[in-house]
Amino acid sequence: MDFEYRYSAEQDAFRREVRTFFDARVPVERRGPVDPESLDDDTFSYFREVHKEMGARGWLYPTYPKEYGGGGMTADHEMVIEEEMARRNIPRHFSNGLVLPSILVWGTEEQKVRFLTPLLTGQETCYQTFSESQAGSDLAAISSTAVRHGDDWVINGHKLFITGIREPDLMYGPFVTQPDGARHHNMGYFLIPYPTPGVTLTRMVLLNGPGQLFINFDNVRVPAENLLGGPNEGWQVAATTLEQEHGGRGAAFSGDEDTQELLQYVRETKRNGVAISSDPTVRLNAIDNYIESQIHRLLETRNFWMYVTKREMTYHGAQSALWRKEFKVRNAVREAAIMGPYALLDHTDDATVNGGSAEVRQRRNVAWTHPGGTPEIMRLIIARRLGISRTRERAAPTPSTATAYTG
Amino acid sequence: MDLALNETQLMLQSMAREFLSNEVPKTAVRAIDESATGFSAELWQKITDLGWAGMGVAEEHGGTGNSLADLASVFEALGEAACPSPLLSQAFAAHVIQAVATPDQQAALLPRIATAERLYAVAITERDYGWGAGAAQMCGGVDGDRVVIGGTKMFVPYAAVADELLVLVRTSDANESEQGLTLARVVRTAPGIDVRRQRGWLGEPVCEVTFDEVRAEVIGTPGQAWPGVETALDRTVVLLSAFMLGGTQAVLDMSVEYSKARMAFGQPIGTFQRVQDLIIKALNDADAIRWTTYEALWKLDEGRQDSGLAASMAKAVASEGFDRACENAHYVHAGAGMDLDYGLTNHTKRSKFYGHYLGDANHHKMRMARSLGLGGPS
Repeated sequence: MDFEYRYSAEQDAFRREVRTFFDARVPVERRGPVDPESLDDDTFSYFREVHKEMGARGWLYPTYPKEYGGGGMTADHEMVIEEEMARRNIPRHFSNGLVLPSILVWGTEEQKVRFLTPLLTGQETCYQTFSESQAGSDLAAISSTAVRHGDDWVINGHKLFITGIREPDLMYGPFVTQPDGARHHNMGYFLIPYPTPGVTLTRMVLLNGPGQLFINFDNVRVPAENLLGGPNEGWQVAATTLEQEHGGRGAAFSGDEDTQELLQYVRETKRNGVAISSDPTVRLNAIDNYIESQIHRLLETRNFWMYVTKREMTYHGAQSALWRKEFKVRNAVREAAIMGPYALLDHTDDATVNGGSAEVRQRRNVAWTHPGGTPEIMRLIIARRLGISRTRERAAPTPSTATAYTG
Repeated sequence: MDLALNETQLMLQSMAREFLSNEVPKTAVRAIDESATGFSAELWQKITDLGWAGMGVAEEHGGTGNSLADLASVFEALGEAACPSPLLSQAFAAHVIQAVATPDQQAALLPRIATAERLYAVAITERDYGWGAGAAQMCGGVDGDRVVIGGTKMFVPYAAVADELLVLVRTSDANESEQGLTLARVVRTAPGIDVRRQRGWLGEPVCEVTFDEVRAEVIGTPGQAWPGVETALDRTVVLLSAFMLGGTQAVLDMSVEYSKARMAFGQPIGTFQRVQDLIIKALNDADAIRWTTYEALWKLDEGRQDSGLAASMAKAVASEGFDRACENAHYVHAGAGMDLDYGLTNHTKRSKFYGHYLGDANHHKMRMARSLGLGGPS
């Protein structure tokens, strides 16, 4: 057993290159704010340009094939980039990359060039449009339609809770192509450029902030070549995306800023002249947060190791996703037990602690249990993969198991 | 990075599983647990013939000098079988001797441990109970290389059948509870020793041992035993966590199989989401124990500075997780699980005692808090 990720000489050299770039490109005063969902326009534009420059170097999606605009590099390089971005708190995920494996696995050569390249190079951003008001966990219950008219498909309906902090260049998701078709065989997966006439974006203001959209489709025409996979294969294409979303690939490096911040708070804080750490309930709560966060780190490390060694994953992705969603809620509850109402003061209050980061966690950690599948859906997947469900299914093809992708 | 067991560990584990499935079926577990001593000399002989007692002892002292992770791969298999044996007690003794004894004493004692020519029991905690240095209150008077000890130790596994006892005693008053502790070695049949097996729902044959003016050998330097004992505790605690991992995985596997086979309302009960939730909780506990334990083993074998923190985390997670997994397995099995011949209760009983043995979850969390600079009394 060896739990240490050992950097190669090549990685060390690459790290120097990455550091030189970020040190020159992102001055300290430009590093990210406490709440990445509330970026001001200036900050957003600034980092959008940084992302484009990274994309030009193949650093946005380092492991994707060079021929389509990826980096053609290894997971080792990707890790270095992720570490250096995290170290500088550089905002990320302006684009939802979960479609990328689907395009690699299901796309035609023309589609890979047309859609993959601008995304991989960072010239364009894309948002995932899956959920509808009556189809969240039960994605197969979507009712927005795509009807063939000559060389085009005409799309009608709506999508909501679409994560995205500005406006995308592309949207992707499943739409019903055969309203009377069999469940899971009645939808196609479409790539929809934005802007396109008939598409309207409305910002939703939610518990976790303004980071999600309501999108209306009113007779939106997209050409036939924007259909990914067959006209009735949308569910299968979406499954490749979802497998990624459910935590399939893990991480060798998972930061633990929230817990470190809390431990430091416990070390430093006195009330009425007494260190709060002298209260054993404070220490127990702090240590429980530490343990749960460490378990999350270890599950992610396990998934990363299984992914890079191409071991067959079954329940593992959904398990770490479930753990992540739920431990963050539990940790927020314990953090509030330690901090008291100071955990509820936001960054605008004069008496706030740590820039209001705890207040963001109080709201966000509950809100973030839903995106990418609720905890209940994660349990459903785990039960299936343990072989105790009525539904038997294997994992959908992902880049670690799909033959279409070897990078 | 490579999180897999290596070839040695996989081989050890598969040999152990094969041996245990032949020699220690669940009916044998119950028979040994319920026997007068809770100990099977026949099984212990077979276990020692396999060389497991010598795995944690260096080659120069008659052992095979395996890593802690090697040894843990066997403990995981023992836990899967809920195997009753004094192997943990013997490993604890080996760790204590290697961490506390003088080189001459190690040369004399370790070969006996490695070959299991003598069986050892380690006595730490007392009536007031605890697993920190402060829990050792029993007094001893040092007289050269001898120490005369008097008092009572509690919850000492296998003391009634051990050949020798290693006893932690307080030989001088000190402001700090970690100072003034001495390790004493004595033959179990020495005059003045009385051993009483404690009764109850206990996963180990634990004993109360009373010492009345007993002359014992001082092991290592008088008054300086604690740091070595603490090191030995870290190593033993992680072996115990590996055993508890095996137990947790076993009750999870039993629950999965039972939920597929047991029909109710015309379908397997595993298709009910409330039953699935119980199984998923056990799965999360098993994997949390697995990876905290494996990482702690790796850190201890590597001699990492934070290995004590990792060891305590593994035991805190194992103490809570094994107990909770057994509880959830009982909910899945309902009446069938309560049958003492079914096998689930062999694990449940162990989850209860081992949850406390060598420190419960809160003990280890408080130790972690100190290690992370959050303060608190030692």
